[in-house]
Parts: sequence; C-alpha cells; structure tokens
Amino acid sequence: MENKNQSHLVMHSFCLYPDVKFETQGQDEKIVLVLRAHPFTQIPWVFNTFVALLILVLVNFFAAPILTLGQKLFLNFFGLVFILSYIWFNILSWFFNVGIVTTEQVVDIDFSSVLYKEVSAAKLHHIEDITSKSGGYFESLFNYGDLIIQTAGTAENIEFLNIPKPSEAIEILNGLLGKE
Amino acid sequence: MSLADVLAILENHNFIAIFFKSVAILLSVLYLLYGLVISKQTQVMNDTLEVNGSKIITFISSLQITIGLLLVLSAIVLLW
Repeated sequence: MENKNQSHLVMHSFCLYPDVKFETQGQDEKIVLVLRAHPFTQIPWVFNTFVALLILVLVNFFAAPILTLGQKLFLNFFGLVFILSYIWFNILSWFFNVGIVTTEQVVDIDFSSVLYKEVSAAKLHHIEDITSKSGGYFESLFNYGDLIIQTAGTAENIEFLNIPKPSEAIEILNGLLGKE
Repeated sequence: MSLADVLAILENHNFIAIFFKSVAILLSVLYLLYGLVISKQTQVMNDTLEVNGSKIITFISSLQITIGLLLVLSAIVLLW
C-alpha cells in the first residue's frame, strides 16, 4: 500500500494517506484524509467515567456493612464491567465515526449510538461549496470545528463535525477539487 | 396480612438476598445481550471501515460476551 507522506495527527483524528479501506472504495481510489472528532470533544464521557468510578467507591464504602461478601464481589465486578463497557462503547463510537476524503469522493460514515449506520457520499465534481465553522473558546484554542460540504442538486450536505484543523482540511479538499 | 407482617418480610435479610440475586441475574443477562449486539455491530463497523487494528477491536468486543457469561455465572454462584 502506498505510504506517501502518511501521518496520524491529533491522536489519529487527522490522518493523511492512512492505511485504511472503506466498504464502497473503488479499485483505483486512494484515501487522502480520514477525519475524526477532535479528542477534546471526548472529555465529557471521560469525566463521566471518573464519576462512575467514584460512585462505585462510595457505594462500596456505604454498602459494606449491609451486603455479604458475595454481594460485594458481584457489585464490584458488575460495576467495573459496566464502566469498562461504557469506555469501549465511546471509543468505538469515536473511532468509527469518520469523514473520508479520497481522490474521487468525500464520504461521511456515521454510527449513531453504535447501532445505526449511515453512510453519505458525494463525488468531488458534485461539490459546490465548502464551509468551515469554528466558534467558541475551546474550538479556537484546540483548533477544531465543523466542515460543511454542499453538494449539487437536492442531495443532503455532508458534514464533518468537530474535526481538527478544519482550514487544512479545506485546503486539501480544494487541492483535490483543483485537480478535477 | 398486616403491616407488621409486611415490615417483617422487608426486614428479612433473605428477602433482600433474593431481591439482589434476581436483579443481579437480570442485569447480567441484559449485559450478555448487550455484548452480543456490540460484537455483531463491531463486525459491521469493521466491514465498513477496515483498519489495521480490526482484529484487536473484534477480539475486545467479543470479550464482552465472555464477560457477560462470567457475570451470569457469578450472579448465580456468588449470590448462592
């Protein structure tokens, strides 16, 4: 597989020429950019994880006199399993919700709550307008925002939400559009 | 049945133990079902987007089924 200038930036949320394939990829089609939500946007569930761990510790502390050893063991086992599953669920959700820019099209793969799959694609020559939206303190500080790609006709716009370096993503897209 | 009888049942530790065990088994079975769904959905995700770590991702998701089974077993055994 071609390894031209491959790089994985911002904790694998801005990947240039990555070694991945997607379902509807054409034979000669090359993936130029894979985008994921900026890691900073994952902080809420990370925070929830710590809160859940704290709750588990507190439950142990207060429930200790009431429960038997078997009950305490099960409670801790289940609590830890639940928290780890929550972490894994969120990792999967972040990892597989991607925006892909190839030499032929842009693809948006969304897995809502992991269970619902939605794949939107638009050929490069159908792209009419590209808009970048980035506002707010954290978005400016960590350089992330939304990329909205308007396509011709009545097709829905393709949106890459909370992606890092939206300006660079536009630059790459414009480069590809210029070659078309 | 008088109120005193009802209170006596509720205060009875056996009742709490049975209640705890029932809830534990129910939650464990629900988690097992969740593990099955996530494992299947991970396969769908890997088919949609093939990455280098696909096998590890599939393995971890499949591990949830094993953990689900262990949870059900522990609910039955530990809370005997």
